[in-house]
Amino acid sequence: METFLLLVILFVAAIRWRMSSNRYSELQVRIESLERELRGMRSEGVPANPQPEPEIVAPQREAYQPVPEPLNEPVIVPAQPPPPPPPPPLAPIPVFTISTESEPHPVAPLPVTEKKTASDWEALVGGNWLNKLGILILVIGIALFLGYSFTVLGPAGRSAVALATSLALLATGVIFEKRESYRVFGRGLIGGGWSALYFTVYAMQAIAASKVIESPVLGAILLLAVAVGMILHSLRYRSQAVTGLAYFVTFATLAITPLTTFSVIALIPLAASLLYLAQRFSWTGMSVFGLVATYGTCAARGDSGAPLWQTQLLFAIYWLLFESFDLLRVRRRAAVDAWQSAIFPLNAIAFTTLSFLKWSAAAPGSLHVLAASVAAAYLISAILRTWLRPPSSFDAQDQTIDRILAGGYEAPVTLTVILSVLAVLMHWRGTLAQCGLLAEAELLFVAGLFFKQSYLRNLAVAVFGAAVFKLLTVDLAEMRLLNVAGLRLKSWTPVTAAMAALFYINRVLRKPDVLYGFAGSAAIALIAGFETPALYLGMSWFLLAACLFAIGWAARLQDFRIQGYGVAGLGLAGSGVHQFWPSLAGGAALIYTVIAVALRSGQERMQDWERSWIARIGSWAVTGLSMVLIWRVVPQAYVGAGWLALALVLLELGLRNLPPEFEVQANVTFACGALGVFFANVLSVHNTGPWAPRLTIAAASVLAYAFAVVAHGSSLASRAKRVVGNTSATGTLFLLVALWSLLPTVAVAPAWAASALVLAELGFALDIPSLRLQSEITGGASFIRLFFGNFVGLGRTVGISHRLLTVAPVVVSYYYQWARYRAFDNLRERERNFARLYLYAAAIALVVLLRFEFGRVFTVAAWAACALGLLLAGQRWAVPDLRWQSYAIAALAFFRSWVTNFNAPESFSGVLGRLLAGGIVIACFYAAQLASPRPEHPPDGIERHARLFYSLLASVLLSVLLFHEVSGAMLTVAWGLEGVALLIAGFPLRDRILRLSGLSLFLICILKLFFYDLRQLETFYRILSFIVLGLILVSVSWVYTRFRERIQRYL
Amino acid sequence: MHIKRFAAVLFLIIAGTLLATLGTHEPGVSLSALRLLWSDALRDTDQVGMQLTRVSDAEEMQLGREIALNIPAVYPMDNADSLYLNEVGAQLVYGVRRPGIDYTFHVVESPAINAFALPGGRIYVTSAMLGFVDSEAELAAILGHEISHVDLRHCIERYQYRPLGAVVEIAHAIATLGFSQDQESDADAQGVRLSMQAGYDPRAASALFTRMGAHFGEVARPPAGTPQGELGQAAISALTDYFRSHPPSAERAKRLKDLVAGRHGSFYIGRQNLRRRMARSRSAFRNEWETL
Repeated sequence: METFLLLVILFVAAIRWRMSSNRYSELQVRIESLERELRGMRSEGVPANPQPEPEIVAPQREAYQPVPEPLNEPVIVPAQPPPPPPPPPLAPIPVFTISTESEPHPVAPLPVTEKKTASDWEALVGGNWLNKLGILILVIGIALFLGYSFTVLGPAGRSAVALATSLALLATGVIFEKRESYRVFGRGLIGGGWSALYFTVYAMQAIAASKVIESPVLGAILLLAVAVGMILHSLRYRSQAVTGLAYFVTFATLAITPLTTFSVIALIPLAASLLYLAQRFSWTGMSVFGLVATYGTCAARGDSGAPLWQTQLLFAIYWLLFESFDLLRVRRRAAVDAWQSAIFPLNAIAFTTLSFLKWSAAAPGSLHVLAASVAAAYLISAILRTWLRPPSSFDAQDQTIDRILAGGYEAPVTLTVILSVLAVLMHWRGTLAQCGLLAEAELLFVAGLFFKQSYLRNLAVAVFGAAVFKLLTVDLAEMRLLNVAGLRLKSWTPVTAAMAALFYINRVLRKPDVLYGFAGSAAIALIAGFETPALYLGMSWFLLAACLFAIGWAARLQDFRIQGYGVAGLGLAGSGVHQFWPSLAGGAALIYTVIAVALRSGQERMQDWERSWIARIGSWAVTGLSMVLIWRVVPQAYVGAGWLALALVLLELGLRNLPPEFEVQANVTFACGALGVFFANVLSVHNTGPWAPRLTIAAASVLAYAFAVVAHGSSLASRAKRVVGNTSATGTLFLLVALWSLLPTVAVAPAWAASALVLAELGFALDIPSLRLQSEITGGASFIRLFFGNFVGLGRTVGISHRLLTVAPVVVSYYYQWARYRAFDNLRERERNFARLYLYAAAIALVVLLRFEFGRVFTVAAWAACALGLLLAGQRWAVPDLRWQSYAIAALAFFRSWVTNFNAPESFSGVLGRLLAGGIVIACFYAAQLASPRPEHPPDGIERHARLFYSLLASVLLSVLLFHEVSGAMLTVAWGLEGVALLIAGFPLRDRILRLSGLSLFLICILKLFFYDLRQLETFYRILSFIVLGLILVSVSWVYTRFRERIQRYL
Repeated sequence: MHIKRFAAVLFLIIAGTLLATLGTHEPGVSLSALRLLWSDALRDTDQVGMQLTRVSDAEEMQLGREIALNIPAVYPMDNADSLYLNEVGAQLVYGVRRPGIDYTFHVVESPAINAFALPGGRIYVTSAMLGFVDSEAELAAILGHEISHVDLRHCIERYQYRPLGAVVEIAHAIATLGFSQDQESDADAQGVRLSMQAGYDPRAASALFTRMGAHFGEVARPPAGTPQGELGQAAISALTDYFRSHPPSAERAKRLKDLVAGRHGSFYIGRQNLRRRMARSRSAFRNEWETL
C-alpha cells in the first residue's frame, strides 16, 4: 500500500514537473512573441524611448486588469515617459493544464524583461505549486488518519470517514472551481478529492483495517467506476495531462486488481477508448502512454498460465489496436511527431517481447513459428504502408529515417527481415541456415532491383553480411568434412562457393555494386585459405590474385584489379607466415610481373595513379619477399651479405627505371643488410676460429663498396652523394673489421693505415670528400690501434723489431697523407685543418716508437735526433708545425735527460751508455742551434728565440751531465772547462749565445766556488778549484784583451 | 709522381707488415704502451720533487733506524739465519751506487713468502722466503732486489714528502702507484746486476720468479677474440695494472731472462751453501759453479 502510495505521489509530482516545464516553455514563447510584437509596434510608429533605462518599481496591479491570479511579484515598467496604454486583459493561466488548441490564450503586449520572467516563476510557485502541495499534504493526512483510525474505528467507520472526506473535497472543489478567483484552488480540491476517493475505494477492498468489500468483482467494478468517473470528469478540461492522469489511475487499478483475466480483457476497451481520445484530440503523448500502460499492465500481471493461443490472441489484439492507430496516422500523412513515431517501435518491441516470453515458456521449440508469424504480420504491415504511403509520395531528398518516422514501409520490412532471419537461424542449422539466409538476401536484392528500392538492396547487403558473419563466427569452426566429387572439403565450402557465385552474379546484375565483387573474391580467398595446405597458402593466394588482376586488366575492371591487389596482400601475409620459399619466390616473381605489366599498360587500361601505386607498393612487396626469401634460404650468418647483394640488384633495376622505386628500396635493403652484417657478423666476429664468418664481413665490405660505386655512377645529385658516402662508409667499417679479424694483431694497424691511404687516394682522384673523411677516421683508428698492439709485447724478424717494421711505415704513411692533402687544392677548410693532425699523429707515433725502440737510456738521444730532423724538415719545407714539434720533442728530451735519464738504472752499468746518450742529445741540440736562423735573419714571432732555446738546452744539459759524471771536488773545474769550450766555440762560430753561455758558466763557477766549494770541499780540491778557475778566467780575459780587434770581427 | 710515392708507401706498409707477421708475437692486445708512457711521465715529473726534497744518506739511515724499531713487535727476529743473510748480502753491496749506506740483513719469522727493505739499508727476508728459495744465487737475487730498492731511492722517496704533511704524502703515494711496477722492474734488473757482479748465477732470479708465479697461481688471461672483448680486456688490464704494486711474476721472469740472455762466464749457484747456511764467501763448493 505504502509503495503504491509513493508511486502515485511520484507520478503526480512527475506530471506536475512536466506541466511546469511546459508552462515555463510556453511562457518563454509568449515572451518572445510579445517582444517581437513590441518591436513591430515600435517600428510602425510607436517611438521607442530608450532613455531613461527601465527601472524596477512597485507592482502596479491596475495595469493588469483584470488580474487572473494574484501576482505579488514586482513588475518592470518604464519609469519615463508615462507607461504605455494598459494591455488587454491577460487570459487566465490554467494551472492544471498544458495549453491546448481548445483554450486559446489571448496574447497581451506586456513589457517583458528577464525580471518579468522571474516574476512569472514566483507567481507559478506561490500561486500554483503551493496549492498543489497543500492538497497533497491533505491527502497524505487522510492516509495518516486512516492509519490512526486503526485503533479507534472499525473498518466501516474508517471507510465512511474517508469516503465523506473525499466527497467533501470533490464537492468543495467543484463549488470553488466555478468562481473565477478560486478556480485554481478549486481544481486542486477536485484533484485531491478524486485521489482520496480512489484510495478510499481501494482501501475498502484491499486493506484489512478498512476492508468492507469482500467481492473482488465488486471491488474491481467500484474502482473502475471511480476511474471512469475521473476520466469523464477530466474530459471537461480537454487537457491531455489531466485525462492522462485519470487513465493512469485506471490502468493502475487494473494493475492492482487480483483478477488477472478481468484486467487483461478490460485493458482492451480501456486502450481502445484512450486511442479514440488520442485520435479525437490529437493527444499523441497520451497514445504512447496508453501503449506503455497497456503492455506494462499486462507485463505486470505476469504469466497467468493461460493457454498460448489465448494469450497470443490478446497480444495480437493489443498489437492490432496500436498498429491500426499508427496506420491511421500514416493514412492521415500527418506531420512527423516524436510521440506518434514512437508508437510503431514501442508496439513492436512490447508485442514481440511479451510474445517471446510467453512462447519461451509455453512452446520454446516453436519460437521460429512466432518469429515467422510476426515477420509475416509486419510484411503485411509493410505492404499496407506501401499502399497507404507509397515511396513515390516522399520527396526525393527525404532520408530513410524521415520516411521511417513518417510511417513508410522501411521499418516493418526491416522487422520482417530481422524476424525472418531469426526464424531461419532458429529453425535450421549449418548449411541449410546459410542457404536460407542467402536465399532471403538474394530475394531482397532481386526485389530491390525490381522495385528500384535501394533500401531493399541495402537490407540484402545486411542479410548477406549476416550470412558472412555466421560463416566467419560459426561455420568456420566446424570441422566436419564433405566428400564432393572425390574431394574432401570443409562442410561450409560448397555453400560459401555458392555465396561467392551469388556475389559475382549480383556484381554482374548491378555494376555499381562493386562491393559484391569484393565479397565474392573474399569468399574465394577464404576457401583457398582453408582448403589449401598451409605451405602452399601464400602461393594459392598469389595465383588467385593473378587471376583477379588478369581479369581486371583484360576486362578493364578496376575493382577486380584492386581485389587482386588485396588478395596479393593476403598472399604476402601467407608467404610471410609460412615462409615457404617457392611461395616467396613465386610471389616476388608474380608481383614483379604485375609491376612490369603496369609499367607497359596504356592510359586507357590503367590510370596513372594506379600504375604509380602498383610500382610503389609492388616494388616494396617484391623487395620484402626477396628479403624474406634470402632470410629463409641463406644460412643466418650470410643473410646480411645476401641482403647487400639484393640491394645491389635492386639499385641496378632502380637506376634502369624498372621501376625507379627500387632505388629507394635498394637503400633500405642496403641498410637492413648492413645492420644484419653488423649484428650477425661484426658483433660476434672472432679473430680466431673458422674463416667463413670473417670472410663474410670482407665480402660484405666488397658489396658495400660495389653499391657505392654503382650509386656514384648513377648521378651527381646530392642524395646520390649522400648514398655514396653512407654506403662507402659502411664498406669501410666492414673492411676495418674484416682486416681486424683476418690479420694478426701486429698487422691490423698497418692494414688500417694502408686502407686509409687507399681511401684518401680514391677521395682525391674522385673528389669525394666523404671518402677522404673515411680515410681520416681510418687513419685515426690505425693511430689508436698502434697503442694497443704495436708498441709492446712484440718480437723480431731478421733482427728488426716488429714495432719498427709496423709503426715506421704507418708513420711514413701519415707524412705521405699530409703531403697529399697539402698538395691538393680543392680542399675544405676542415680538411685543411685536419691534415695538420697527420703531422702530429706521425710525430707522436714516432716519439713513442723511439721510446720503446731505444729503451730507457737512449730514448732521449733518439728524441733529440728526431727533434733535429724535424727542425731541419720544418725549415726545409717551411712547415711551422714541424718546427714546433721539434721544439716540443727537444724540451721533452731535455727534461727527461735531466730528471731521469742520468739516474736510470740501465745507465749505471757503464759510463759509455750514459755519456753517449747524453752526448748525442747535447750534440743534437747544438746542431739544432746552429741550424736555427741566426739573429741577423730572425724569423717572425717567438720562433726568433729558437737558437737561444736550443743553445740553452744543450749547455744546461752539458752542465748537468758534468754534474752527474764529475760530481764532487772536480765539478767546478769541469764546468770552468765547459765554459772555456763554449767560448772557444762561440768565437769561430760567431755565436754570441755560446759565448754568453760560457761566461755565464764562469759566473756560476765563481759563485759555487765561494758559496760551496770554500766550505764543503776538501782543502786540496778547494785549492784546485780556485786555481783552475782562476786560470781559466785569466786566460779568457787575456784572450779577450789580446785579440780584441780580431775578436771584434767575430762578434 | 704521387702515384709512385703512393705505391712506395703502400709497399713499405705491406712489406713491413709481412715481415712482422713472419715472426712470433703475443696474440693479445693491451694498453701497456700507454701505461708505460704514463708511468714515464709520472716518474719524470716525480723526479723534480724528489730531487728538491732529497735527504742525505745519514738522514735516510736515521729514518730507517727509527722505523726498524717497530719491526720486532710485528715480526719476531731470527738471529741465527740473519748472520748467514748478512754474509750473503755483504757480497752484493760492492756494486751499489750509494756506498754511504750501511746495509744490514735480517730474517724475520713469518709464514708469508716475502722480503722488504727500509730506508737506510735495512733489508728483511721472511723465514718462509728463506725456505722458498732454492739456492744461494736465488737468495742473492732477492737481496739484490731489495738492496736496489734502497740504492735507487725507492724506499726513501716514499718518506721524502713527510715534512710537507700527510695529505701531500698520500697524494704522492697514489701518484707513485703509476710507476711502482717500473720501480720493481728497475729493482729486478739492478738486483740481477748486483748478484751477477758478486758472481752468482744470473738465471736464478728468472727461475725464482717462475716458481713464485706457479706457487701463487698467477694465470695469464687468454687473449679476447672480439673487438669489444679486446677493448674491455685492454681497459681492465690497464686499470688493474695501474693499481698493481708488482708486475706479474711471469712477466718479471721473462724480462730478467731477456736481460741476462747472452751473458757469458762462470757463475755460482750455492744450493749446499743455502742448506748449510754457510755463505759462499766462507766456503765455496766446487760443484756449485756453472759456466754459461
